[in-house]
Amino acid sequence: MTTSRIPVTVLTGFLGAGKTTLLNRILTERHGKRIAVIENEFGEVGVDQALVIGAEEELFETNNGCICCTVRGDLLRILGQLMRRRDKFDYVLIETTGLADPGPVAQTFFLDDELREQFVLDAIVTLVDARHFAGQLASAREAAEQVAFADVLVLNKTDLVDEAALARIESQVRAMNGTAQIHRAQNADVPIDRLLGLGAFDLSRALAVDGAFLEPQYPFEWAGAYELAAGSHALSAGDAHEHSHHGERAHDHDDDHDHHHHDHGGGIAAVLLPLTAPTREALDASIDAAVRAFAEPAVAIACGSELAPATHRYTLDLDHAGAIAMLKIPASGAYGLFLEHAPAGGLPRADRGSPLAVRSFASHSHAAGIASIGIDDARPLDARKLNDWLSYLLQSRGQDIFRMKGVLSLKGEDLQYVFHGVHMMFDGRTGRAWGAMERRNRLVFIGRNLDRAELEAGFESAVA
Amino acid sequence: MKPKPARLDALWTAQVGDFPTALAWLPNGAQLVVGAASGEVSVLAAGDGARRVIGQHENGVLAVACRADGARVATAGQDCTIAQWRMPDGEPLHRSAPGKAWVEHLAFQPGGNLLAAASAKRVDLWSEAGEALHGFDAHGGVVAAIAWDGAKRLGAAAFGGVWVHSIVSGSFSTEALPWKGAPLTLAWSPNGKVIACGMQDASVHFWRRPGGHHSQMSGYATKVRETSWSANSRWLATGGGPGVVLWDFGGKGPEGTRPVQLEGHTDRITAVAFQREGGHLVSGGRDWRLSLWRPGSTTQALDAHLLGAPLCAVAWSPDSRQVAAACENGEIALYALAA
Repeated sequence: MTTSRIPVTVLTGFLGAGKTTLLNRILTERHGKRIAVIENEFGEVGVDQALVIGAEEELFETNNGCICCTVRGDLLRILGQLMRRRDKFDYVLIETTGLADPGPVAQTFFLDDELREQFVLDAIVTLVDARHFAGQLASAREAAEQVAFADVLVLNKTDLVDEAALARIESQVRAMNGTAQIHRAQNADVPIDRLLGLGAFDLSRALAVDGAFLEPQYPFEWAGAYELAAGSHALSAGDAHEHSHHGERAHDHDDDHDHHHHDHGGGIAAVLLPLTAPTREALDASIDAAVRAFAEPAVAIACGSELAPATHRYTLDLDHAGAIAMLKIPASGAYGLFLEHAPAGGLPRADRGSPLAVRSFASHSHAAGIASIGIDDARPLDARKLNDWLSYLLQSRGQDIFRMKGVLSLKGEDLQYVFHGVHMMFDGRTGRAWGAMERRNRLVFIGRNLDRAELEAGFESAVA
Repeated sequence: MKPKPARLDALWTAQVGDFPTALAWLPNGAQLVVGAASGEVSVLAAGDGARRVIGQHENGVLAVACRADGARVATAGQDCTIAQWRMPDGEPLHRSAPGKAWVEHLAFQPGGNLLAAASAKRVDLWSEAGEALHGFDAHGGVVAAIAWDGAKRLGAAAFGGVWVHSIVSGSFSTEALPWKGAPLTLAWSPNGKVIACGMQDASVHFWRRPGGHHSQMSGYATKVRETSWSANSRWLATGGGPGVVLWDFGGKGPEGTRPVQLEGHTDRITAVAFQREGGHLVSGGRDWRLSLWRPGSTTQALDAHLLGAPLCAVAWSPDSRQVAAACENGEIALYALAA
């Protein structure tokens, strides 16, 4: 007698990120689902007919202290009772506390046989408070972990920050979590079908590893294209205050700068290159030239000094309130400015002019040491060697690997091999036929203090 | 002359309409009280299975307990209340709402009138009149199981170990038996010398009394939610997989010994129960099977019955002559032991 398993969506995010708002939106929408809610944070669920169970988070740790074996006692108890009433509901939502570690939540659904038979983790949805994320990231390890574990990231309260800040957060969370779907929202207004029923832990669904994430990491995070006349133009940090909706915004801005200083000693690298046109495509076409320029020794310049198109990089002091540099333009045309870090405030301006096109690249300033590392390689793998590598990897680095997934091409095998995992738990199986698709291995590891060289060497050892 | 092997003879089946979450016999053996996930509290006549619903806990019953004198039944549930009922007629007496957490476990004091009730990290003692007399709150986590050893000692298992509370002439004290693990059950050996807990991490942990010498027995397929002692305190029967695992406390063991395994179920065991008098054991499983065993004589089932759904609870009648079995589909079946 087999019955279908009940999907469970886990909602994480810091206090104030909008979890309760999102929960209430989901419960009031006409989606035809009967949802049971487990709440660890006692917000106001404003829906009377919903089955809402409040419980304090309880960690069941093991004697050896391994985080990979820790499960959530409160979920075991409550879901253990809920499954006796499974005719009463067909979906479960778990709202965690702001400081919850998603690892034990996910592990509960893998490590307990009984729950695994009755429930299936659908996805981990993490809300990010766009306005306070930078501060939360700096002050609490959990904020970064919640981003790292997510299948869906909702950048909420986007109306409270400007586009540049939003682009910076997006690039930052993308660097931490290369595989999550990212949605922007103002009042947690994300369509329900992007939150529920995703099957993110279901290997029988097509496993998508975002190709864009697998692009190489660049030494720059931001580029802007400007149309500039010959002569001198004052480059200034965009005035964030002009765009702000709240007076406190200026305060946030200051915080960000302090953080920035701390990490990078006050200067950031910049490169100015001529473009064929002031467009995103032209910026893309100049990436290789920019990478070469970033590899050259830097020329430090004082505030207000001249910065000319060159094949080397400059070090700028972006904190300066007025003109950062004088752009010395030899001939009228399109120019691209590449910056080591995404601008913290508004978009950099040349005289009064904003960039006509901008491009963000994966951030390489990894919050709390958390990052995604992707491997994209066409060479087929040997199944036995792959097993050896992954077994060793999980044993040795399982505590630091939060999520992993991949689509692999095994030698002599017509079918894809797909896998995913949380900490030490690994689930892999054969997937679709490769057919006409290009055979490639695409793997993503999300974790803390991951060593790209070690992962690449491990992958290399599995090549057939 | 070889004795005839024992068997279970079917008497009747009844329906409580939803997943039975708690099952208890009245001490006189005349009635069974069954709580269900629907929230209904049913009283079944042991004679013919006739059912009467006496009350309700909204969102589901979690615990049922019967007082030693048979005059009182207590129930608790997801409505976070404790209800007391007068027996045999099932008249509601009073209902208390101690807090906002589920009341998950109830146990009447053997030979006394106190009711122990566990809710979140607390165990409260309630008087016959429904007044809270004392609360124990030293537990490391949410209380997973409670059990009395006589009228003066109450054990409570929670994450981090077992807490033994003493109630001696109106004064209260607590002894902690720490172990960094998550117990799911608590079973005192009838002679009071061992406390055994089935654990979330697929092991059994036990402490010897007095003192706190403790051991862990591992090797189970899954978490262990089924523990029952034989009347003579020799055998501890446990589930935690498709076989009944028996630990022999009769000699120097069970440390360093291999357990006796009773094979016959084809899916996880969900309930084990020894007779309170005599040496028979019954087990129920997800394989819809109720099995009868005689540990110490044979590892083969003496008898087995296939019920209408996976079993979730078994309970011997107070005189140890009948067995009630509950199935996930709400079916309650009664069998008589013919030995």
